[in-house]
Amino acid sequence: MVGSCNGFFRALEKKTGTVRWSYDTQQDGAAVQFHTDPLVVEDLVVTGSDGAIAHLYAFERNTGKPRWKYEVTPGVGADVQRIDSNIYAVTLQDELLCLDWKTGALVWKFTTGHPTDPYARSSTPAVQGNRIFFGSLDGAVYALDAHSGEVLWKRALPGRISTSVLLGGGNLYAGTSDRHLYRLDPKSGTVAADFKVEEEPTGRLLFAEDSLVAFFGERKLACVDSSLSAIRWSDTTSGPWSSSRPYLWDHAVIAGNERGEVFAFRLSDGSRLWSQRFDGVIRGVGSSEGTLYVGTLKGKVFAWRAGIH
Amino acid sequence: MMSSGRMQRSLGVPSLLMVVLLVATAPGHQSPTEAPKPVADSRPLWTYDTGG
Repeated sequence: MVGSCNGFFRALEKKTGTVRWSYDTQQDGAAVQFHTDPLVVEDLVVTGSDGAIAHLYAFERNTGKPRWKYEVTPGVGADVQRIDSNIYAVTLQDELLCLDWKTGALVWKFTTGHPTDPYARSSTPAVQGNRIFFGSLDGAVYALDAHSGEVLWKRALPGRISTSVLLGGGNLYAGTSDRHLYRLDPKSGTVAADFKVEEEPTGRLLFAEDSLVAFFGERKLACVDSSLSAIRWSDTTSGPWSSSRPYLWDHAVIAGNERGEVFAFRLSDGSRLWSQRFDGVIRGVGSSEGTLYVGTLKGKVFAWRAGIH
Repeated sequence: MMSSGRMQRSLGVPSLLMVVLLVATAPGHQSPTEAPKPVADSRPLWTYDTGG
């Protein structure tokens, strides 16, 4: 699945790159952009979009026909999550929406009331059991009952939430603009660990094998132990990181930068396994069956098999 | 814009692509950015241009 900045959302054949189907959002009033990883729910592909007239879309996987769409202008820039019959999306206006994934009907909506900041990046929520967690633009992490939308707890943090919130190893993680990483108790919101770092953690976090991986500032990628007591390894790139997140692929952390370089770091020790240069600023990365798919800001998609991985 | 998209199979080594191997670094230390060395087949399986 490939969403591009010219308003198209496409499904490509993994082995050949042939277009299976394509949807032009211009027909909905404006060409929107896609900045989220799509969510596959049974026979549907659900994705957020952002722009002048933005929607949450649910496309039929095999045909690309929209089953439903829900207007979310100015948009959804964070990944959509699912619990049972519902999906959850955080809008650029700091709202948490709960929709029925089969019909797109609104089940409930939670609004923090925080003034909208046009330059703010919304935070991808996390789900566990019957709870959904999200980092608000008001600087707090919320836990809500997924079925009712009732706020279970709210934990205000000193800085703006600058990363996704992420569950891993029974903990809830979040980074803030004042250069802290936090480990929270998902049941109560109690701060279990507060780890000061050198630069602002940004973007979406990655949890794998008892480690938390995050971008720090523009150029550093770091791996922190899950208790948030020490940095296990870090690496600094020659160009600012530009991939939407660090990805995990076969025990390696994959990240791309504005110079078109994609790097693979061994998760256990941070050693560089390989790198590959592509034509353009790296944005989205995906993988399937030993093949890496790399999208660039210029709009090109590359399917590549790492020769020395 | 869809019509402007193109799919191409790579039959040769594109000039802008290069596979590299970088030196492993001990845990807990920062890895310096180093000049890459080409070590493997760098051809993509396929590329697709979305048009933007």
